[in-house]
Amino acid sequence: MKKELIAAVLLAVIFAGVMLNIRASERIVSSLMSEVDAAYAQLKGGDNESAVKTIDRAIEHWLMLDGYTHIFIRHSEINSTTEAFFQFKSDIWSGDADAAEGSYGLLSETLRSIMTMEQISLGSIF
Amino acid sequence: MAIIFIRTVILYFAILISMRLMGKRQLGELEISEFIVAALIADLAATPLQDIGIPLLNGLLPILIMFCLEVIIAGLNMKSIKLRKLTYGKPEIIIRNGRIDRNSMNRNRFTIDELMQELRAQGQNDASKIAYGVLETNGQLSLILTGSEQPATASMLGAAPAETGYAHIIINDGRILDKNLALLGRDRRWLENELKRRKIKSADEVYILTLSETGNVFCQLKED
Repeated sequence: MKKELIAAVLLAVIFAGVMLNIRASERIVSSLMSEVDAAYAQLKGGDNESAVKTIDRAIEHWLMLDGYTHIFIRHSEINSTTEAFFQFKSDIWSGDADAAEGSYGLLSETLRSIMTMEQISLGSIF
Repeated sequence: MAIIFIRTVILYFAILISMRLMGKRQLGELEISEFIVAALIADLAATPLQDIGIPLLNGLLPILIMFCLEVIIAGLNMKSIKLRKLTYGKPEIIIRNGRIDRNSMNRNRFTIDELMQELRAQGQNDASKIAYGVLETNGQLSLILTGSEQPATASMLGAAPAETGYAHIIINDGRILDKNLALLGRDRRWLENELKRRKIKSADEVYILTLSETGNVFCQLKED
């Protein structure tokens, strides 16, 4: 029975681990989202220079999460998120508000999908 | 990762139930839960190996979860007869006193052709000579012949043949297994004498040498 007990404990530990991972992904995404939102708000306010600085910080923040992302997230999703970050930065840089609005939407959705993919819902399970 | 956890648990039980419903003949020699683990683990391990874009954890985690479930299910099966019946099923009699039980055959999706194939594989081709044909939980068919068809045993003939005892390997492809020698209360000196008696210069020349508990020696040289 000792072996079964160890297996049950291990299963519980894994389950606790995956729950913590949900919390971690929510924390990471909401922190990145607040930086992206701030950059978008600055852009809307006509402060392109600050918007570029803010999105640069967000990109740096995202790239520094490399240790976490490469273990827990598919590499194709990491690449598409990184591309969405740089697309948004490029649109802010060019000063094209309409294009920036589109790339902001894309980046927001890409970031949100990282979080929703981990969250437990019927849609994500099946 | 939570999704992987839940998906693995769902898949495990989905396959367990479907294999259980499919009947025993699908299994071969594995029990249902063993089959699931064997079939899925190989595939799960291959996915992150084939695509390096998938984190290794996506392959490792389901394997670990599957292993834990298997250990827990196997442990619970040891404790509960009801659960054992539920997960592994129970042996089913498909031939009784020389008559094939059609209901039992249908329940296990066992066709006449497959039954005859199983009988032939066990050296039988006439169901009327079989007292009981039992489909075991691992999918194997066990046959108990009618009294008149059972092979005569030494006790039936009133003979008392000498025990042959278990044969241990002493030399395996030139290598001497000292542990087995000691197990039978012999040593290297005994082995040297045995080889000398057979005009063998060294153990290197021997492919296999076995010694039974009753002292019978079998020896085959590499050249033979």
